[in-house]
Amino acid sequence: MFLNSIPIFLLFFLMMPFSLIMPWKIIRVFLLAIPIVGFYQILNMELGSSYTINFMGLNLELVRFDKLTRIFSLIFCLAAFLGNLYAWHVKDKVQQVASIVYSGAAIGAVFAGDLVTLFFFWEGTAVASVFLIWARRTEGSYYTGMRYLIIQIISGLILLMGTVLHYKETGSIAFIQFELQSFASWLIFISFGIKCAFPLLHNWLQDSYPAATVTGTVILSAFTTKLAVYALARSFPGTEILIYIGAAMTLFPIFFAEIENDLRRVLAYSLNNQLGFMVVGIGIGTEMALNGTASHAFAHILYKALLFMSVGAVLFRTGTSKASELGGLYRTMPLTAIFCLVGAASISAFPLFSGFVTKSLIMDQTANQHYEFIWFVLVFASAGVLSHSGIKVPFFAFFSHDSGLRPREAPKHMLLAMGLTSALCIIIGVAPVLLYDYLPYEVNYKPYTSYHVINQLQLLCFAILSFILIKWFKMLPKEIRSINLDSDIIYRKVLPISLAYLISGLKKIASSIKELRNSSGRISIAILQKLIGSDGSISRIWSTGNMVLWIAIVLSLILILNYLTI
Amino acid sequence: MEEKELNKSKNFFSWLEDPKKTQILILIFVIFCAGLFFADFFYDRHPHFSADKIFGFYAIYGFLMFTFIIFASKVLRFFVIRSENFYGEKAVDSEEHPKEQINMGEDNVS
Repeated sequence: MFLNSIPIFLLFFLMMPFSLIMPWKIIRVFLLAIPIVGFYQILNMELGSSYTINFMGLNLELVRFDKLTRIFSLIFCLAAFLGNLYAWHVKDKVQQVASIVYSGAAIGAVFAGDLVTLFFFWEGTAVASVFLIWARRTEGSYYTGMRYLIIQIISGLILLMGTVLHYKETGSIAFIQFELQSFASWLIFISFGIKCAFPLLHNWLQDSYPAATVTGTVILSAFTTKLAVYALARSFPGTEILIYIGAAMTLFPIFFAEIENDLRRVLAYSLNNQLGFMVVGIGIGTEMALNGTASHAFAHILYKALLFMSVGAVLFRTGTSKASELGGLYRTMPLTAIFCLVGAASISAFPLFSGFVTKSLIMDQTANQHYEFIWFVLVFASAGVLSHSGIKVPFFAFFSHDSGLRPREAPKHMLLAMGLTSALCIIIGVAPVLLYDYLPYEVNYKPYTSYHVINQLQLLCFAILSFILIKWFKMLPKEIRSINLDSDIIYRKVLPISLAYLISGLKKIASSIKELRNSSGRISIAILQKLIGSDGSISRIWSTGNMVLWIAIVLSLILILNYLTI
Repeated sequence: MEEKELNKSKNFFSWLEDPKKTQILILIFVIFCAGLFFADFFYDRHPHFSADKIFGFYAIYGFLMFTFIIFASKVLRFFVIRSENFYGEKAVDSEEHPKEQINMGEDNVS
């Protein structure tokens, strides 16, 4: 068939030149049609197929299709479809094109069989997605987008450095499993870690997602971080350090989410916490744990998009997503409230909802592999998920005290997108086999056993009981118009201020040696001539690999310096 | 018009307006929780470690940890809270969402 002869992600990119001439009303039809065609094509693709081209002496594997690729590319197509349906009303071509290219690049990265192709798409997701933030077209979103873009590009450049070094060491650019030993593998690991929002590398996520447009955040939430989860699952399964990194990721966002006022940022923290579960699964690295990671990523993309959609609908109808301004919206937005509750139940892993059948795969493996401490952390984090995503988001938006706002119900296409996503969350929860069949390895696990259902209900219901009591005694953290400091204070305030001091100090030194300059000028030019003149030691023949490496290093430095000055 | 608006806002959540009904709901929930706690007598438990052998472990752990999260985050807030304008115009926190990107009125989506 004609469709099977072109790689899926190209479908998404083919959109770009057309979009310049087509009106937005036609583009949005394509925005829905392309993911459907992609989904269909992936379902019918043969496992093990591959497509390689030769580019400048490198064999680039544009398509490598196995079971891990299949599950992630399927959910990416699904997420693109649902996100674009939710954005049906958007007339802004910038956002339309950005979202389709962004999802195409993410799918391309999942198909990439070598590190160079991966790098290409890795940066593609960064460049395309930033337009979903800039499309808000405010000064704040411009700066936020800049910070986001620079961090994403740095992640890509570190990946490029890792790739070059790895190629020099091994002569291979294959995107396969690596041992975390050589410097090159550490670079690749850190590059993935930035996109996966590892602790202390995480702030770009909470900074940028609440700054995007109403629909942009929904689309952003699906791809970048889950692409990083995929890359880690592909390259570093069974790397023990990931278990501890993942556990830390499940923990710290809980407390920040609890006191955050902007509900979209609460969800960004909660996203970070969910990534932690997936990273733990990768760190354990058994077949079942990797199944857990893949299935949890699948379920997570859906319920997280659903939660972002419902809060987005509130923002669309009221102009704010801040808990301090909201409350009591169930009166006029009952359907959105129900969809939000479905998302909340799914992320909290209530039985019959999707989180229950996917998270338990990871929890079960943690216990079976005797990571006792980690297991307790994850159970604790499960109570934490309930506290911010399960209770806080729906409660403060739709229930709680009456804010006096009486917004209209969300538009029909948003309700349809939320309804479909809710249905998927429940279908996965009720009939997990449908999802289990598409996992990378055979699933030998039954989520619905009496002890599992009862234990989970005990955990969640008693946590809710605690919430009721704390509410009763009026001791919940108040919703206050505020922001909270996180580690981003370092690069948003501390470093720029110190840099300013440093620069003014250097200027003083410079002016004091100004007088000396005239006499010493000639000498320094002569030294430079020796180093980088036509016969200079630095300008002698360099290998291309070295050049690329140095360009990457210099670019990163420039980016970091830029960062500190914006 | 006003009455119509009011009628329109009646939906399946409207019973929440009645404090008595919410109290009954909470009572039912508390009874359900008690039942869950003592359910530990009646099924085949599968503890992984020594701690979760304790009777009612999940209920106790869930309750205590949730309480801990709330109070610990209040402590955290004491240290990290700042005004919305802390990062000034370089962040979106203190700015209004652009009016043209939201739609509080009639839908004109075709």
